[in-house]
Amino acid sequence: MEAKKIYSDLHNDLNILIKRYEEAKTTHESCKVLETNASGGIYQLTWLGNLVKNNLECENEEFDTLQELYKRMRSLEADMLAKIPAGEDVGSRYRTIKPSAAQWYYLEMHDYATFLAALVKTPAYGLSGEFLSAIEDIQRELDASECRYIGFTEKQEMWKVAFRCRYYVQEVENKLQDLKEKSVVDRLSPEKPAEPQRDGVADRL
Amino acid sequence: MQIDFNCLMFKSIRLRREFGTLAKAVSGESQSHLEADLDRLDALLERMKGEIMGQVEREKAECASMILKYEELKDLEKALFEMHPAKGYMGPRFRAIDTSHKLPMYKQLYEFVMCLSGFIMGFLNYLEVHLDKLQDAMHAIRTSEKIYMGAKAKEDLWLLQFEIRQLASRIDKDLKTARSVEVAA
Repeated sequence: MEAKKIYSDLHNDLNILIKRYEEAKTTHESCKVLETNASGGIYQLTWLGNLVKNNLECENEEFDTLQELYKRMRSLEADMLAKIPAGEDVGSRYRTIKPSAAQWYYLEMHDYATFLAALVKTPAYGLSGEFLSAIEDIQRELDASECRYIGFTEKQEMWKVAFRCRYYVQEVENKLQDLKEKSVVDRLSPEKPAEPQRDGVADRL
Repeated sequence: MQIDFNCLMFKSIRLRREFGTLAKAVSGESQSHLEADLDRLDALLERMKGEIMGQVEREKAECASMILKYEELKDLEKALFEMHPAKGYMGPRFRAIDTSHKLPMYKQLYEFVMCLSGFIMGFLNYLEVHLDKLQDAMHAIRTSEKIYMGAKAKEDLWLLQFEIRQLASRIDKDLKTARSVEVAA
């Protein structure tokens, strides 16, 4: 389940509950537990919102990094092909990589880097070691970028906050349910004798 | 980009056929030299076929091992959710993982591990022993993904492909020379 989806589901749940909480507040003037849980839920949801936002920003940055690495590889490939002696068969150029879902994108980029590394390591093409260190740098950057994209710690944190938020949502829901049941019980319980009507005039007397 | 094995295979067949039509015109020494090169080309292609098949098998094995890992994680999820007294609070259970596409499967497994560790960190801090288990699962998934993506094996295949191309080019050149000699004669 994507972080954005978790966030929007919880946001909807919480909005409905806050509305019901406001309605409940008018009939049960102050209910501390209800209030604490509702504000706890809102706090967690705000926190989750910030985490999701940061995560999306990181992924966008990673995407830009990949685009930059791709440009570097294309230019490196052009330089390599220009240096290979005429008449050597290297097959066709590596096909164009179109940006796609991040994980496929990484796979294609890794494949491209592997292709270029093999091209440099084939002695007959006579390519210098400089090309190899350039491609190894790109491979290292690709690995680092992929680790950031997976973002284990950040996603763990998002799930943690999402679970806590859902806990508060459920607590508010339970409390509202209790209040609802209590009001039904109150309505069904035997009526107390009515207090004597106080007449304003009699009072004055 | 996939290595076009069929294209290389057809090239080898064409060269062998061309050699057959020219064989009489080529001197004995050149003939045996060309024949040796063509045999080497076939052997390299055979090796490449074996390596491609090996890669496919490794991918299948990795996929099967990750499906087992998924089952283990599901058991752990069940156990964890039951440990928490307020079972209703957890929201929907993690959705079923689609194992038909291998690469997205890894991403979903990562998410699953993260979801479970987030759950432990959020509610069950005293169960940190499971966090270690999840870190191990994460490491296993990552290693498996590397094996599946097979960077080293793929580099070897590209190297083999370039070697085949060079050898095929040399044979082609030798055959052209032989043909020009035949035409001149």
